[in-house]
Amino acid sequence: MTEAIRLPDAEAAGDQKAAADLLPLVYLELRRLAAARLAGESPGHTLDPTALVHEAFLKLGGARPFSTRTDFLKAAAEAMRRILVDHARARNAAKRAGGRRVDLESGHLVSRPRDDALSALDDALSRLAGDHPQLAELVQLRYFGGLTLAECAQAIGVSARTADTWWAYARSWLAVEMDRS
Amino acid sequence: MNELEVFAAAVAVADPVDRAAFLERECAGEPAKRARLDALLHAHGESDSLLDRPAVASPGPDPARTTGHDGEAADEHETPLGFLAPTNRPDSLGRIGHYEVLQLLGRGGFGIVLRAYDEVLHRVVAVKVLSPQVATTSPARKRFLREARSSAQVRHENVVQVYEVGEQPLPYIVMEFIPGETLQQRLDRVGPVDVLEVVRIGRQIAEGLAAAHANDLIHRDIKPANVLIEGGTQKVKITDFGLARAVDDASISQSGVIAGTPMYMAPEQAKGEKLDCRADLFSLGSVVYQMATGRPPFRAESTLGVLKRVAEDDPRPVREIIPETPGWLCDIIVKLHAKKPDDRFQSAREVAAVLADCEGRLKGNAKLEDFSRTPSGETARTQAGRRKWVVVAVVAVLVGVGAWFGHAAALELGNRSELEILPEQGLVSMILLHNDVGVIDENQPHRAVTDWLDMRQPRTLTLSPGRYQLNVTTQPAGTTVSHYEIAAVGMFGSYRNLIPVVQSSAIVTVERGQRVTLKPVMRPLPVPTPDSAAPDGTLPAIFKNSIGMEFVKVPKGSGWLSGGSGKPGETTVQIAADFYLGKYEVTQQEWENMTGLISSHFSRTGPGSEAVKGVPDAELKRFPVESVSWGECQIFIERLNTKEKDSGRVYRLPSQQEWVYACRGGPVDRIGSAFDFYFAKPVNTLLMNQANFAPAEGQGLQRTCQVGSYPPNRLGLHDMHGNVWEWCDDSEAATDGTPGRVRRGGGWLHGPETCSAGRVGGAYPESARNFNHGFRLACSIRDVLDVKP
Repeated sequence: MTEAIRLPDAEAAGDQKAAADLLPLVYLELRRLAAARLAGESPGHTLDPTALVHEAFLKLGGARPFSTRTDFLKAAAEAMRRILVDHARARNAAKRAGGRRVDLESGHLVSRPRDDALSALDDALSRLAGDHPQLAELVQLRYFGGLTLAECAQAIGVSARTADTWWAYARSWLAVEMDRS
Repeated sequence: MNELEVFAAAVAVADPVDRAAFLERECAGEPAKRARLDALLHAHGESDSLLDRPAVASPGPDPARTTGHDGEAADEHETPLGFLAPTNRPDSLGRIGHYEVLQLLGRGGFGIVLRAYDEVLHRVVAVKVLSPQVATTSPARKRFLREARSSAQVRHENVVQVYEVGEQPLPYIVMEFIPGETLQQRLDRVGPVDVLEVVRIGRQIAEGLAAAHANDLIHRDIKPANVLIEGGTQKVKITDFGLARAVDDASISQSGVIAGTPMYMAPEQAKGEKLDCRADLFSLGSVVYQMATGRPPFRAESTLGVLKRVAEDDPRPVREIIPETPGWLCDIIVKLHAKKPDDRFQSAREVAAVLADCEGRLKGNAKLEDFSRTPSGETARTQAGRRKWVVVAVVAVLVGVGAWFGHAAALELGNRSELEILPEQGLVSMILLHNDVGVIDENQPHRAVTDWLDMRQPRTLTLSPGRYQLNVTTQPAGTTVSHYEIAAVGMFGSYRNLIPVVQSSAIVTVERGQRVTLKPVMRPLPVPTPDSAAPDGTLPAIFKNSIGMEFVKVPKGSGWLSGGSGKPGETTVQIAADFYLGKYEVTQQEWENMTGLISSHFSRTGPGSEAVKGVPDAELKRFPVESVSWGECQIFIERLNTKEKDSGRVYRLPSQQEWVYACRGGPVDRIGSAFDFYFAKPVNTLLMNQANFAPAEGQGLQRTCQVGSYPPNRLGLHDMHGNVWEWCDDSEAATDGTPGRVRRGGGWLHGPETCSAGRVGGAYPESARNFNHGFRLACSIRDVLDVKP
């Protein structure tokens, strides 16, 4: 056959960016919800990240076509990771600065894991993404997105068995990595 | 093996000695690799990883959500009972208050459930104790005590009676002991129960709820595991007002924390909105649904999935699962499942009355016949409620001119959508398939919504939003559905359009809250033309060649070249001799037969295989070949000419003048008839039932389709407009150095203007391939060529 030149028409490859396009929207909505929940609450009030993601999903996901469900979950996982990690870092910083109260702008979400552990996980996860991007995606979806392993497998497009192996490996990989730092 | 593979293999070796031997082999001479793997495997063995408690919870065994009188089986040896006071009774595990604990019944809710003996009143009781782990946190303790106090207010034979609330050494509730099983256990054991049983149990739950609601208590967690069935009497009792609070105590809703079991939750609960008693009625609907069908109505793999389904989807109709379910029972479930509380029954009392009425009728009629769709009640209140119920079932017929009325009605639809299909002469039945991958059932993207739809009367279906596929199953002989006229009215406006029928099915997109009306439009099936020479010796109108390709005669004459876009033709064209043009674009099968190549994007092995996954092999073979270069087309032509060298036929690509001439249906005498599109008659707008193209509304196929899926032009040529661009020869114009290749007709990827007769596709490299480009053949007959001067 002669050398192939593919000249795709404009609309040909548009889907890849869907999750990335959604991210700012989901991120803002999650932050907005967190702020609304905190307004008028007593200091130190905690929020349930799970409930936040659910609510954001119903608000944003509901207005969008179903085909973007996976995109939403990917974006939500990414957004939740940023919010939780930013918040953990902000509180760490506040502690070092002598316990000054952190304003809402820097996020007032309270997550269960210790702030420094979360921050370390974020760093380790970024390093994992350098070596094994799909494994990092899996961890992000499961840990910050609340997906089951089977759903992660579907979202990433691998078999449940592969996802299981990946998870075991990523979990150990991250544990070793976090231990080291 | 890379590190991941070695790790996975090592994990698979359970025996530590074997595993060490395996690692020894794999890491021989590489101590660093060995140390690294040892560290990884050590981490693997550690149970307490941060990652094991996701920041955003996924569902899983969650003891706080599996409650019940004797809930989850529990092992006495695993559950610490150290908080119990010592006892002298040999059969007792210990004491709490004046109760001798006899047995651990289960674990659930916020703690454990014990069977105990009341030393004072000499009766067996159930004692629910807050687990030591959670008793230390003040909110859980408060919540537990609040639960206990609120449920103690309710005294009713269908509610488990709370006798006493204690706080030492741990908070506990003493309640009526009900020997028997939970409804969940019953359903697990027997599957769907018969109609009389559904009604009997449902009625008793409704009565228990009515008693609770009379005390301003919302249960908030009605589910089969919280319904006990007493052995012997078979009396039904609601237990675990675990989430019950007084109606005015809405703090939990406002905190944004979603409480309760999502699978049975009401939509307003799933959305974290303010609740009233009617939330329990939705959950009751789910329990009744599960009794009737054996499965919960809203299932998904994750909590998120369940919440979304609860909030937005209608469950699969009961009759699709158990076809013999009486219509009135389905109606009751549908009404309990209304997404908006105002559309439900308005009180548990009303539900109890309706179910009691049904129960009475069923007992009087042992055959369980479908006696009535709207059982009559006794009180004025139920009558009023029922009238509303009938109104809900009656759906206004939307016709195009009534769009403004429809608009107001659409606003009331909320999350639901309605699809109405108008009857058409001779049309008997259809099937509606859900076409939305990943919504209803991820394993079955083409879930049948209806098994069989009687089309002799208008049909209105309440659907969840999504893409649906409509297939006609029975149609009059000699005709077929050509297309549907669609009128849609929704929250964001209305539109009218046409939906094409391609390969006997049509795709309709139903938006949230939209009311869609479809009117089928029939057309006669084409009558085959005889394949033989006319008696006067002129060329046959059509012929079929040695590999089954069909050709249509294009009579000589004159016409207009170019034109379109509102402009008349600019150049006349003279076609001196009759010639033939392929009736269809060259198909994938024809291409494969001649070249042995599988080139197409939209094929089983091509990059677009996903888009044609549902297309049967027989149809896919008849898709146009695409992603073929100009040069490859020449190879095809050369081989075909070699194969048929004695036939007197000469195959070639059409010249662009021939192509336009044929597209316009042959001789065109007046300049004013240079329109954009040519079918049975020339028109200036392209409709969705005329060609495979990409309309602005986004309803197009987004891929190629079987050739001949759309009506032909007046010469009998199919897909001249759309489907794929077609290579045409332009060597006559090539003297000035232009490439001598053009493309005509537009493709599935393009809007209507590109698919017009007058539009010419620009220069394209000889070796270029595109999934939007194919070709059709022209053919001259040697005798005719010889006649040419």
